[in-house]
Amino acid sequence: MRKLGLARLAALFALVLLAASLGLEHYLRVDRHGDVKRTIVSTWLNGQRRSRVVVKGKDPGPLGEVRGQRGFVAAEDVLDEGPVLSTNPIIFGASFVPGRDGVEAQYDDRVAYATVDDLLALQAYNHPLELGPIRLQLGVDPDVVLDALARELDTTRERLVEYGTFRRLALRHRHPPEPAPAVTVATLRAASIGAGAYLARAVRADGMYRYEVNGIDDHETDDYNWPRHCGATWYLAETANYTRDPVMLASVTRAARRLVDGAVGQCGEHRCVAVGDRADLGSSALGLLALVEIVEGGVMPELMPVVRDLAAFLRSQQRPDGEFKHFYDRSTNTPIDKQSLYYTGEAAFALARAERLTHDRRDLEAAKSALAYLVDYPFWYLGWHYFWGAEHWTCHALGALWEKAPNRKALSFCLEWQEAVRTTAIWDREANPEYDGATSAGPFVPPALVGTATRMEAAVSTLTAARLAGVPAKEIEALEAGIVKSLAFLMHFQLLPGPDYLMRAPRFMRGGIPNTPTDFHVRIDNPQHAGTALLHYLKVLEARQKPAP
Amino acid sequence: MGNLIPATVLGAGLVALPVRYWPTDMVVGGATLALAGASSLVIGRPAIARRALLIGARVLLGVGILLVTVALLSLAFLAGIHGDFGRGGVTLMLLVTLLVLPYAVVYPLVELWWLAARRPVPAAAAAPETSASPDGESPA
Repeated sequence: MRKLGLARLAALFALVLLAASLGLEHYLRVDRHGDVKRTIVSTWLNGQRRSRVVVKGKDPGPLGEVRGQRGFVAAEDVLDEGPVLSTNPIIFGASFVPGRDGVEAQYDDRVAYATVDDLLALQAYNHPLELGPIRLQLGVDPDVVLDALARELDTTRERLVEYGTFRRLALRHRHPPEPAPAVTVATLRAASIGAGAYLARAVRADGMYRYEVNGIDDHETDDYNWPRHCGATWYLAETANYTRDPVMLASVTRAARRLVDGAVGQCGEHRCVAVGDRADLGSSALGLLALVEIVEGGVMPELMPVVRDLAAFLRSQQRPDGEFKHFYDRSTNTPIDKQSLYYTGEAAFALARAERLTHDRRDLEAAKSALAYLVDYPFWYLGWHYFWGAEHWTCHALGALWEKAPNRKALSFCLEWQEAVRTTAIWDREANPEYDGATSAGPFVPPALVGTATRMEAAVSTLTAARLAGVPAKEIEALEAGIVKSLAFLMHFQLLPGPDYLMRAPRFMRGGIPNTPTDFHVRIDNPQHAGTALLHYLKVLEARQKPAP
Repeated sequence: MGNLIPATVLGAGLVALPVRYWPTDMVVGGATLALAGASSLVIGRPAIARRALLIGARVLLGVGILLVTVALLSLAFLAGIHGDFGRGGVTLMLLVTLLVLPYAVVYPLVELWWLAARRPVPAAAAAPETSASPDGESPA
């Protein structure tokens, strides 16, 4: 009897819970493929909204009210709407899909909208909610949204929360237009040069970059990071060499001059990139990479001695097993045998690239040995096939070394990593089909573009090596299909121009790669990584188009 | 001894959580302690083993039901807002469910079932006067 009672209770509970869950899901669901219910038309000038009208149906019809004004007229289609369960910060915040949903508020017979454009301009999609020690990345920042709607409705936030009603609006935002651009030689060229042009504009007169700029308000952070200065200069040099654009060439010269004059110092008997007593390997490795590209392009041949010296410094830091000592104490002239993320791969790649210029066999041997160390996992370590760190530099080293020193184990390593990248990428996210192919940052948050970019630059280097190695066509096709899809994602959200009418300085931001589709901060390594992926794949396609010699 | 497995899983999961958040710590920590305590009593004081196991199983089932209810309703809420999360999201949610369900719901249910099937002979059969059963349950 008690057994039966327990079973009945469990079954009843399961049924009630299932019914409640299905009911809740159905109640909240919106149709993003339906007809346009109405269109919200806004005029933007200098990043500020100047006017707004709401028209029924798809065609906004005569826009006299907004057409008479200067500015950009942006239309957002309301496809459907749904309820908002509560103004509790957690529930309200999580009730909207970033970049897709807006808010309608009714208060005292008045209606106000916070559309996707408004929320992007308010930067309301990017604020994490802190709940004790837990940081939740929700759909919108409830404080920012409720304050903005209260201002719009000429009331206080408290009164709006108490007496107002809220609806979720499923919107179709027309900028950037859908679908994502096709990946062709022309679009890749525009995107990669756009990323380089952004970096060229970001180099100030003193050779330092505007390190991280908020695309919405043009505000600049105070941080600076020399490894990223070097990495950005590497990509800028590569684009400048590709285009021979005088503005880019002048910018890369300023950035390189600043690097050499302001950050290259002595590390014992060699020169290294260092500011302060402690030098790190990554700065010198990426500095070497940048200078190799610059000298190779014939821009500043006088820097060749620095190239040789930086390569010698990297070699001097290498241990007999191939690993590097990642730091150097300049006050005592002592290498520090501690390791940090990225640096070994960066050094391996930089030495492999440097050897093409220095023709010094020691650079090649050092790069080979470092790459072998990076993929030297014992056969019994199963995790090798399932867990990866950020391995883009490893795969760059693989690609750079392949012709002179092919490493099959490294090729398998990079191919397996890329398979995992494809499998774990975002596919078929109903609310955001435009994220297909992106590296996920979590199921409910917009993906970070730089995460996808680093994986794709590695993918293109892997593709180059795989083709030379005669990897089966099926695997190469899968690798390339993943590259095409992910590059389309990157190009879709590159600020080329993106929703430039929301920005204070759209001309400066043009070509920048934002943090995410809804966070328009551009740090200099974003265009570097994305640009590298785009430009290297462009070069692959261009090489294919050339007739065989 | 079986209780030590979910106790270990819950305890390890609690330690592995990246942040300390007292509501979660209290609920999961309480369940872990209840299970470990029940196992200790089974070994140390066999006379009250059945009652200890019942308490341990009920605590675990309560925590399990709470977790599953919160997880399922959260999932329904997020599915309503976001629609289909895509392959990655579904896999993640499925993994979480598969990790919680066997230890926190199925196991205590089976344990309660098993304990119900092995109820001691009612005291009434041995002694006609009404008294509390050894496990504290009122006689049926």
